[in-house]
Amino acid sequence: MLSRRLLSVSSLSRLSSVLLLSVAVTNVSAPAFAQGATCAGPITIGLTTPTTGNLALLGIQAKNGVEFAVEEMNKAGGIAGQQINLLAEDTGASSTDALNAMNRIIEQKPLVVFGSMISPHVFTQTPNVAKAEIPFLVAATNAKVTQQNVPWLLRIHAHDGQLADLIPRYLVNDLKKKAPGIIAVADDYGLGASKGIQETLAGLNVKAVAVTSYAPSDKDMTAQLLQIKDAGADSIILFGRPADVAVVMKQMDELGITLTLIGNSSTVAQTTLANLSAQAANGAYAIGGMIPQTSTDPKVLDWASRVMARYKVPADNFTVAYYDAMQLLKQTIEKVGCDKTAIRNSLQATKDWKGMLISYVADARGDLAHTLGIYKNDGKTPKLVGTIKEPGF
Amino acid sequence: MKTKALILGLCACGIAIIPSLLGEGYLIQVLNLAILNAIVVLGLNFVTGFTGQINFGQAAFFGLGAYATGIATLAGAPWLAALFLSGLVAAIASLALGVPTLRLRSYYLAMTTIGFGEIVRLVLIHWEEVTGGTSGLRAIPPISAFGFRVESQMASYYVLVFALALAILFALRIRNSSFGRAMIATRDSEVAAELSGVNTIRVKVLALMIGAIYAGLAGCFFASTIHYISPDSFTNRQAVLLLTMLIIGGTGSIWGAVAGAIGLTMLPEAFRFLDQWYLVLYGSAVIAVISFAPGGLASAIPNVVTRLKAAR
Repeated sequence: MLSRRLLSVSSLSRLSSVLLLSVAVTNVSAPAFAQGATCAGPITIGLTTPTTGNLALLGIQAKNGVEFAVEEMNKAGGIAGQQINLLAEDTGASSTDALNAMNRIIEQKPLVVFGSMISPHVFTQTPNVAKAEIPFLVAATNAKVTQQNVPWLLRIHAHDGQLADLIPRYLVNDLKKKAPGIIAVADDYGLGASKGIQETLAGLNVKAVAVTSYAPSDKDMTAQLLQIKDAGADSIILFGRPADVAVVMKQMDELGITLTLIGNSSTVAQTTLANLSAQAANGAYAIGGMIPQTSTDPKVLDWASRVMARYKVPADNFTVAYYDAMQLLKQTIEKVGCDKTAIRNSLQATKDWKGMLISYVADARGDLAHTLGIYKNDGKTPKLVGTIKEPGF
Repeated sequence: MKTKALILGLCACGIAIIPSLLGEGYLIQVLNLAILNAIVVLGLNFVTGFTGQINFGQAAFFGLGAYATGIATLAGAPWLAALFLSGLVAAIASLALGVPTLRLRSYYLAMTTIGFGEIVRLVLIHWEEVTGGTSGLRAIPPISAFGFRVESQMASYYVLVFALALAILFALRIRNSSFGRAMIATRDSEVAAELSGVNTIRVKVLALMIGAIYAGLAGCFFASTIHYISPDSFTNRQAVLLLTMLIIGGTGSIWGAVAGAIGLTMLPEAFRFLDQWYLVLYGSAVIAVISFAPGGLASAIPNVVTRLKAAR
């Protein structure tokens, strides 16, 4: 009886040993499971971005960045041995169309989706992407985008909250200007930044002598520029998209306004400079996402020339951000496999991941980019003055 | 009579089973947007189709209705109150626009309504404390009335179909009333209508107001169904699109307005597989309809039926 009981105890202990061993084996084999080997079939990646309408110049940069990376990866064997199937949809310029485009992509069950840099489009898409529980990588510039408490959303580009903080600081502390005028495009990007810039200036005990804006389709900003000049400004902070920033800079030159100009990366973007004379472009400063043309790294310059050869459009800060994001995604999938939650968690834990021009660090909100470039135009050639980091990074 | 009832019954069954065929997702949401556009275009038909006044302000009324609902429901107002408020705001705005401007004719009125649309857009952008500015309003509560919350797109579809049916019935009743005849008389000849005792200014203002209420109510449904609104959904580009829907469907035709709105909402989505070329095909389709059926789809279909009968 006793021996039988002892036997049964020993059987139990053997059974528990086997169970413990199997648990241990499962745990040991978990990393092997997470090597990406379990990604079945082609890996579907979604992308919604404006490729038609007045935002197409921006949207095409996002598409070029992702597409270029995907083409390179597919040629090299894909991700974890699987080819990548990129689904790209045009959002046009309307939030409603952006929602339709995203819904269409979600139905095709992508592993990850990229949103655009247009914040209203991302705002309207976010609830549906979050409901579908898909990692959502965006470059939307409105600071509030990552304040929605949506764990599936991560931002891969600098936002206007950072710019609104760093541009006035650089202008006041480094360029020693004390009476700036502000001119911004009256859209989600420009007005949000203008408000933030005024708040930062107030914190530096500086008041903007004039605050103006213009509609995205305006072609005559001379009244706003003269208002700033007549108000006694010693500098101008300009926030806009490449197309309208080129008009403002051209009209500043025509009016003979030689005040120090500082703006977002549109001031030094290739699409802006292509429409300006060397005199109109010369001396303008910009703080923004990193642009590849100013790099001295031969690899980066080679990449930029290959992008130019492929698309006949010079790569900009958004092309770099989306290309980097796709590379980060590749490494993530190869590390954790094709589980969406695991991908999201891994992206949220990103720390000092080296991209083409900057290192990416995920913060608690899901912002990955915290390093920006300071540029100055030498004629029509932008030069990198230095980099500037968001406080705390 | 029996055949008519049978056709109506079959149509009702078809409409009822659509959500179960499409499922919750992309297609049902596009269909919901098409129904909303149909209500807005039905409203536009009062002032442009029946009364003959060019109106580019319909998108602005749509936006005012959407923002009235967004602001009210986010502040905690009941949805039914927001629905009423949306119609009221649009009606007041139409009176503010219509009373001083509807003495103007043709191009002058068109230009005024373009200006009105731009003013509304700029107010939505710059009155940030109330409208959320260019970031818009997020997390707008869903349709909720009599203890029911309409959360899904499939459920919203049934509510919107019901709203569209009411909008069509109301439009049919008005068109066949003395006011409807006054609108059509005003469109055909303002001078003749006035000589017949029609107060054409009053008729035009009322037509604009009814159309604005349609747009305002549709705006309420839009905000409660999509849950996010921003100024870029209510631009003059959208106003042109709404007018195109009416022209393609057939100005002055209720069924044409519905067909034009649903067709032009669905068509770009159907052509998405063509990538950027879809705009070319979409534009070509619009040009083809205008060229071969200047009266819109509403005039083309009876013509085809007549020709087919004659061929027999």
